[in-house]
Amino acid sequence: MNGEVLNISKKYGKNQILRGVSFPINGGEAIGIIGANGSGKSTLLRILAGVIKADEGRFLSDGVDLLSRGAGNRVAYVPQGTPLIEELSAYDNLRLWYEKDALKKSLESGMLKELGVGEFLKKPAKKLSGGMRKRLSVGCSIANDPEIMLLDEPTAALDLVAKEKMKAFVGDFVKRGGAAVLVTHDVQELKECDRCYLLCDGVLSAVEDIDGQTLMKKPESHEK
Amino acid sequence: MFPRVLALTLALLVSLGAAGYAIYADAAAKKAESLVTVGIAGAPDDRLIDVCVNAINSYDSLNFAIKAVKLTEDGAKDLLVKGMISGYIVVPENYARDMYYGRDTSLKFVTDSSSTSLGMTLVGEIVDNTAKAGLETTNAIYGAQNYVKDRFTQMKPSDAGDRLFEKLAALMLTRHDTYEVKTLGILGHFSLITYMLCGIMIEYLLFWGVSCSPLFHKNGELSRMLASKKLGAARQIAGEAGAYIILMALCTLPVFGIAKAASALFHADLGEFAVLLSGRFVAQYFLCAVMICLMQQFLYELSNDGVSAPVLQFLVAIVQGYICGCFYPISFFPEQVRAFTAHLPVGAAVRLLGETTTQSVVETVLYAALFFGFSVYLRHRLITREETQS
Amino acid sequence: MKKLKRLFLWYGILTKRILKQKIYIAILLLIPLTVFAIRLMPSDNGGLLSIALARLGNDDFSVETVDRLANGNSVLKYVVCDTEEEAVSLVSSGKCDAAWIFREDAGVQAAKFASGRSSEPAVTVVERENSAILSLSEECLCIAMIPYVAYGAYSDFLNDLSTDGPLPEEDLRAYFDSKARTTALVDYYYVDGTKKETSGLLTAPVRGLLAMIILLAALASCMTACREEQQGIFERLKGKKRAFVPIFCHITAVLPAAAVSLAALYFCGLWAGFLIEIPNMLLYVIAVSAFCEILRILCRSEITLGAVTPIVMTVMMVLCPVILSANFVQLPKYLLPPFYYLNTLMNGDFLLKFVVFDAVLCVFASAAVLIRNKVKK
Repeated sequence: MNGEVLNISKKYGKNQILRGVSFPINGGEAIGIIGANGSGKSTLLRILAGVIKADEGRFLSDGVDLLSRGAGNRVAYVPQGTPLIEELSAYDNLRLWYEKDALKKSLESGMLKELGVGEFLKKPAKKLSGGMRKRLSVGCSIANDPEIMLLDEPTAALDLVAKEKMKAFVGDFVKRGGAAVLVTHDVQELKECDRCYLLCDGVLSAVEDIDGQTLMKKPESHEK
Repeated sequence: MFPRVLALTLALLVSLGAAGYAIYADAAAKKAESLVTVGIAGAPDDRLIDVCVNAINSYDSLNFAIKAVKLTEDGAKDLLVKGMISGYIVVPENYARDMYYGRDTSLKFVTDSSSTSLGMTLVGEIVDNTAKAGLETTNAIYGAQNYVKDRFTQMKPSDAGDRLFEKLAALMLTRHDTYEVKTLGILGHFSLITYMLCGIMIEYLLFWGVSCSPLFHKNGELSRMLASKKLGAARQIAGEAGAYIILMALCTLPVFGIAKAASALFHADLGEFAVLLSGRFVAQYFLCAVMICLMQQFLYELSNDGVSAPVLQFLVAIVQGYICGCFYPISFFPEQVRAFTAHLPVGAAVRLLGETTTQSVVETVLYAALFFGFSVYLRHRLITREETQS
Repeated sequence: MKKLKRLFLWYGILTKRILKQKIYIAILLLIPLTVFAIRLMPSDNGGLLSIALARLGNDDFSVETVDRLANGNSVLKYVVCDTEEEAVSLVSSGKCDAAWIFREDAGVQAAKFASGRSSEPAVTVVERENSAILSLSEECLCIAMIPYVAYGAYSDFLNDLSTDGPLPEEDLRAYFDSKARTTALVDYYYVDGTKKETSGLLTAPVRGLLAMIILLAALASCMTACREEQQGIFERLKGKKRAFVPIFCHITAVLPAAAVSLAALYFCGLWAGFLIEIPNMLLYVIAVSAFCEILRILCRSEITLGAVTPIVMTVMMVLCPVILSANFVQLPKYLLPPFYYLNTLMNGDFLLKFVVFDAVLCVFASAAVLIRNKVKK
C-alpha cells in the first residue's frame, strides 16, 4: 500500500488549525505525530478518517483520493478515549461492527485474538478496566480489516503491561503490511516509529532527532 | 449560567402561563365568553332547532357558560375539527313528528372526545342526562296523545301532543325558576380558578427543577475532591441545594413583586386573586419551593447521568402533579386515591397552599428534611464508592 | 438481504442497549401502570364537582329527585346530608362545591311549576362562588327534576281536559308508562361518523398521557444520542449512515414504548380496533422520532435538551390537548405529533393529514440531519 497526505488545511472560524499538512503513508510503516495540546493532531486524524471535512487537500491511497471518495474499509480510526456503548457487553459492542463469521474468525485466530478481547467478552463495557476498554475500542475500529490504522493516543492512561500489549499489536499490524499513524505524547513510542513528525501552529515538520529537548523547540522552518 | 437559567425560567413561565390561561378560560367564563359552544344542526327550516338553540341560550345571558349556535351539519363538522365548537347535535328531519308518533329516531351527538376539558366533560354529562330526562318528556307527550285518542275523542291526539309540547317547552325555558342561588363568598378558601392556578404554580416549581438541574454539571470527581478537603456529603448537599434554592428564589419570587407592583400601578382589582400576592401566601409558596427543590436534589442524586435525571424528575413531576390535583380538582379522584395522594410531597404542597394547617406545614417541613437526609446519604455512598474503587 | 439482516441486528442490539437503561424501564412500566390505574380506579366516589344534597320535607318530589341524583351514575359526586346546616357547612368548609337544599314545600312548588302556575323556588342552591362550571352543574339539577315535572305537566294537562273531575291516577300512570320508549334518545358519534360508547371521565386523558409518555421515551433517546455523539461512538460509521443513526436509535426507543402502550390499551378494554390503533401508532412513532431528532439538532446538547423537555411537554399538554384545552391558538397545534395522533383516533378523516404531516416531518428531519452533518464537517 502506497499513500500520501497532500496539503491538508483546516480552519475553524478565524483559527487556522492545519496549514498544508503533507506526509507520505506507506504500508509496513508506523508514523508518529507529536505536538502540544490543541495543536490539531486529533483534527488531522479525524480528517483522514473522514469524520470531519478538510478545507482543502487530499489523502491518496494507491492513487485513490479517500477524502473525496470515502475511506470505506481501508481506514480504521481509533478515537481518543474509548467510545463504547456502556450498557452493552463487549461482545455486543463488537457485534455492531463485525459480520458474524468475521467476528468468530477474528476472535479465534485474528486481530481480536491478538488484542486478547476474548477474555472479557461477556462483561458490560462500563465494568471494564481502562486497558480492556482500549483494547475493545481498537477491536471495534478494525472490524473491516483495514490497510491504514489511525490511532489517537492509543496508550494514554494505560498501565505498563497494557501499553506493551498495545504497542505489540500495532507492531504486528505494521509487520503484516499495514500503515499505522499514531498521535502520541509518549517519547518512547515515537522512538519506535519509522518516521516522526511534529505538528506546531498547524505546520507539520519531520523530526529527525527525537528527544524531549528537541521536541520542545519550534522547528526552524516555521520560525522563518 | 444564570442567563440560561433566566431564559429557561421565562420560557417556562410563558408556557405555564398559557396553561394557566387555558385553565382560566376552561373553568370560568367571563361576560360575553362562553365556556362551551355547541352546534345544533339539522334541516334549516326545522322549528325544533330554533327552539333548542333558544332554550340553551336563554340560560342566564349575562353569564352564559354554554352557547348554542345553529349550523349546517357540514359546517358544524368543520368547526369541530378546527376546535371552534366543542360538539354538535344533529336533529334528524321530521324529528318532532317521528317522536310524536313513537317512531324510532334519535339525536346524534358528535364530539371530539380527544378534548378532556372540564366544560366539555360537563356538557357530555348534561347531554347524557338530558337524553334520559328527555325520554320522560316524550313519554309524557306520547302518553297524552294515546290517552286523548282513547278517552277524549273530541280532541285530535296530535293537537294534544302539540299543546303539551308547548307547555313543556315553556317549562323548559323557565326551568331556572325552580331554584334560587345563594352565594356565600369564598370565605378564606380558594375559588376553583385560584385552586387550579395554585396547581400550575406547583407544577412551575417542579418543572423549573427539571429544566434547570441539567445546567448544574454534576461531577463525581468534584465530589471526591471536596470530600478530600473535609467537605463531606452533608456540606456538599447543603451548599448545592442552597445555591439551587437561592437561584429558584431569584427566578420566582420577583414575579410576585412585579405582579403586586403592577396591580398597584394600574389600580387593578384582583378580586379573588389578591390572596395569591399576600405575604403569607408568598411565605407558604417559598416553603413549598424549598421542599420541591430538595426533592429534585434527591432525584438528581438518585440518577447517575444527565439523561436519567431530567427524565426521572419529569416523570415524578407529571405523575404527582396529576394525582395530587394540579391538573384536575382533587375531588375528581376517588376518596381512596385522595386519602393517599394528600400525603405525597406534591399533595402536601398543594394542601399547604390551599389550607395552611399545622399538619400541612409539618408534612412539608418533614418532607424537606427527609429529602435532604436521603440526598446526603446518596452522596455519601457515591463518595465512599469512588474511594473504594480508586 | 445482507443489508436487511445487518439492519435488524443493529435494531436488536440498540434495543438491548435502551432496555438496559433503568430510566427507560421506568418509562415502560409507567405505561401499563397509568392505563390500569386510571381504568381500574373506582369512580363511584370521585367526581368533577362535589354537591351536598339535603331535603327538608318528605314529599314525593324531593325524595324522588334526591334519590335519582344520589344513585345515578354521574361525573358529579353527591353527598347526602341529613340537615340543611350540615350541607351548608360542607360548602363553607370547602368540602363540597355547592349544596342543593330541597325546601320543605318543594313538592308543592314543583307541582305549581309543572301546572304552569306562579311558584316559588323549590330548591335553594348554596355556593361559595359563582363560576361557569357550577352554573353548568345546575343544569344537572334541572334535568333531575324533569321526570317529576314532565309527569306533573302531563297529568295536569289531561286533568284540565277532563270534564268529569280528576282522572284516576292509575290510568294516568299506566298511559304514561305503557308506551314508554326504551331506546336511547341520543346516539354518540365521532367526527368521522363512527359510533362510540360514551367514555368515562376518568379514562378520557389516558391516550393523551400515553402519547406524552411515548414522546418522553423519544426525548430520553435524544439525550442519549447527544451524549453518544459527543463521545464519538458512531464515528466508526462511514458516510451518511452516521448522520442517520440517531433517528434509528429514536425508533428503537419509541417502538417498545408504543408496543407496550398498545398492549395496555388492549388488555384494559380501551382498544379501538386493530385498523385504527396500529396504523395510527406507527405513524405516531415515525412522527415522534423525526420531531425529536429536529429538536435534538436545534438543542445541540443533552443539557439543553433536558432543560427544554418540561417546556416542550407543557406546550404539548396544553395545545394537543392532553389534559387542558387551549383553543386560543390553532396554528402551532398543527406542528405537534400528539395533536395528529389524538385527532386521528377520534376522526378517521384526519388520517390523511397525519400521513402528510409525517412525510413533511421526515423530509425536514432528513434535511436537518444532512445540513448538520455538512456543517459539522
